[in-house]
Amino acid sequence: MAAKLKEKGFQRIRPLAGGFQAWVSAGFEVQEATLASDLTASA
Amino acid sequence: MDQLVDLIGRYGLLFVFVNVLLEQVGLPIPALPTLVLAGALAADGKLSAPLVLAVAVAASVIADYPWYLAGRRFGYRALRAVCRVSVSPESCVRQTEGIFERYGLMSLALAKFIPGYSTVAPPLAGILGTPAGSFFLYNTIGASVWAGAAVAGGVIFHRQVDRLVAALDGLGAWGLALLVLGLALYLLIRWTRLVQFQRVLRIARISVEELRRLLVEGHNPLILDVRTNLSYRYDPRTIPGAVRFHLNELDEKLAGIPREQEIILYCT
Repeated sequence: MAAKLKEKGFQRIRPLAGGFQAWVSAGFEVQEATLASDLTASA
Repeated sequence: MDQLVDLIGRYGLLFVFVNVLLEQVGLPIPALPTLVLAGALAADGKLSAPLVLAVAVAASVIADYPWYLAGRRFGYRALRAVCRVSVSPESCVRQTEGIFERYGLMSLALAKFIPGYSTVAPPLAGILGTPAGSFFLYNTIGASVWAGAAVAGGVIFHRQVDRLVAALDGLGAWGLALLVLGLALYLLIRWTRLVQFQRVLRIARISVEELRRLLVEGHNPLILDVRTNLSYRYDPRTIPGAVRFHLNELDEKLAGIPREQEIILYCT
């Protein structure tokens, strides 16, 4: 995925180590499901 | 001679059991050659084909069940653990979900035939709340179809297998060396793939602490949530400000974004 975006020319691209799980485990704030993000998900 | 046959009859089954168990637990040890050989031995009357099948299915189901339970209990952390043993966490989690998303429970029945999928399907079934009964049913069907095909292959082609074994036997120590070499080659290929993938992933990663700092300091990086629909439904929360994103909408979503924009990707 990150490699694909690099091909498209984006240079400053970084995957998050550990993914969403790591973010949640670290206890950082999350955004509850919103209609907007749901819409983009099904788009 | 009778004693020898008896020996093979007894330890052959144990060998099949341990081999299948180790493979299903997630170790890179192929069980297919053993099953085919056991099938050939069964055709020669040295083993009982139904017993070989039963032992292989039992080993497979026994090895899968703890991973299913781990999935139920620990969620995606269990899947990542399996994926770390087998291949790479990221690609593995995504691909697995893709398959389960498309085929559901039926994918369990065919799991053993999909490379890399068989060890990750059980924890995934657990994560998605598959009832224990359904899991057991489909998983047993899957193990039976897989082991059945391998043993049947051995039975059908037992002459060829016998000839191969005889040829290896004729080579004496060299035959054994050839087998060891084959296994070593197999392990090397798997290991190379793992290393290659990790090299791709090593493209500078960002830690959660660093991302958090970027957000607090107001740097506003573009955060893309690239989880599959399946894991998004499992936990529909996102990192604040993140945009849900699919590989196939790459071009439209990134149309107006400058190439020097800082982008952070995250998946499950």
